[in-house]
Amino acid sequence: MKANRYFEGVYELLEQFDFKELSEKDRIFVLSEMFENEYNDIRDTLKDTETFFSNSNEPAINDSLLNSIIHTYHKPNILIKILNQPVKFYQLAASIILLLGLFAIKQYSDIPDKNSALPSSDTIYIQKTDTIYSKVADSIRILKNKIIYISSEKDNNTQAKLLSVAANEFDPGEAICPNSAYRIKEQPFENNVSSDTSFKNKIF
Amino acid sequence: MQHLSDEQLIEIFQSNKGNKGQIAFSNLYNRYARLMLNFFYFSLHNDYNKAQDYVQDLFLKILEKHNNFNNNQFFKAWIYRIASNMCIDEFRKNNVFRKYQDHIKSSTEIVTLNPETERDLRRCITDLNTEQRSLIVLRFKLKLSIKEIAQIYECPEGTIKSRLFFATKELSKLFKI
Repeated sequence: MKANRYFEGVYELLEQFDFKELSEKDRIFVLSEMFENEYNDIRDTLKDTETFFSNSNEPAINDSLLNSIIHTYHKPNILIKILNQPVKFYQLAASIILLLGLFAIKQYSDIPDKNSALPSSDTIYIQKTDTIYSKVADSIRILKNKIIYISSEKDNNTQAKLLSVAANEFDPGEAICPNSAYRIKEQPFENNVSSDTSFKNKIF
Repeated sequence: MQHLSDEQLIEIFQSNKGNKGQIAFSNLYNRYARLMLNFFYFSLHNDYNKAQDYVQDLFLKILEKHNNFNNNQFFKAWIYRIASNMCIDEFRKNNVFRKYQDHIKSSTEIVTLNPETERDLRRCITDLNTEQRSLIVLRFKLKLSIKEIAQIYECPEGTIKSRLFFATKELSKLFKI
């Protein structure tokens, strides 16, 4: 702000006075920001510029320029010129018929052939869902049922066979029992060894 | 209509499309055509034909857009502002300096300055930027007051003085080179 005030003030002095013509106060003001020779240089340039412009030839205005401006201003543009052209009735009718004809031809050419394949485009949307099931089991308990059949007769072979079956994997589909055998008990079996005392008593 | 002010003339032109309006416009043209030609001539590197074309364009703009003129402002400031903007647009579009450099050198004018000084000064004015050159032309060629220039540029008088100071300082610097 202060600097701007300085430039404004110096410019006013530059336009009017040489440095020598400045008052003591103005000299101090000018010298606060620039040197004397700098002031004089700018002052000389300013005076030269004034002289240059005041003595330079002024270009003369062309007398016909005003008419040219008015003529250009009043000159309608091409579109308005075309629209202002008189049109005869038969020309207008012929133009309309021509346009209708062209329109009809275009319409006819746009009808598709019956036997031609119609272009079609289908849009297929594919939706993909992935589901992952996870099952976590903390403990697994296996229960086995074992059915032992025993003959009423204390046949050594049958008993031995039954005992061997009891010791092996149990398969309910497999017929291992003779016809004479009867079902005596169905009980949980643990570690392939029966704990049933009645069963033991019957066998042994 | 000679006694009427610029603002009164443009008002007549705005409200009358007939003969009266045309006379008002002719009066405005007679007052400003020469000044505008000078402004364009010195701002556009002393090209007379170009300056004349610009004067024509300027008055055509006034004819077409006279309704943009607000009656609260000064016509002089308005017309110079349009002219100044036209110069700035021209310099933005292409580098006029290069295009017309040869013309500047060949241009002959009578000046009382030493021919060498005159040539140097012409070169320095050409080297100024558009705004500085316009300011110098307005102030020293067209002899507009600081107040009038401030109205054209729509800024305080102090700003114009500062700008003129820097323009002259720049001119002085270029002159030394």
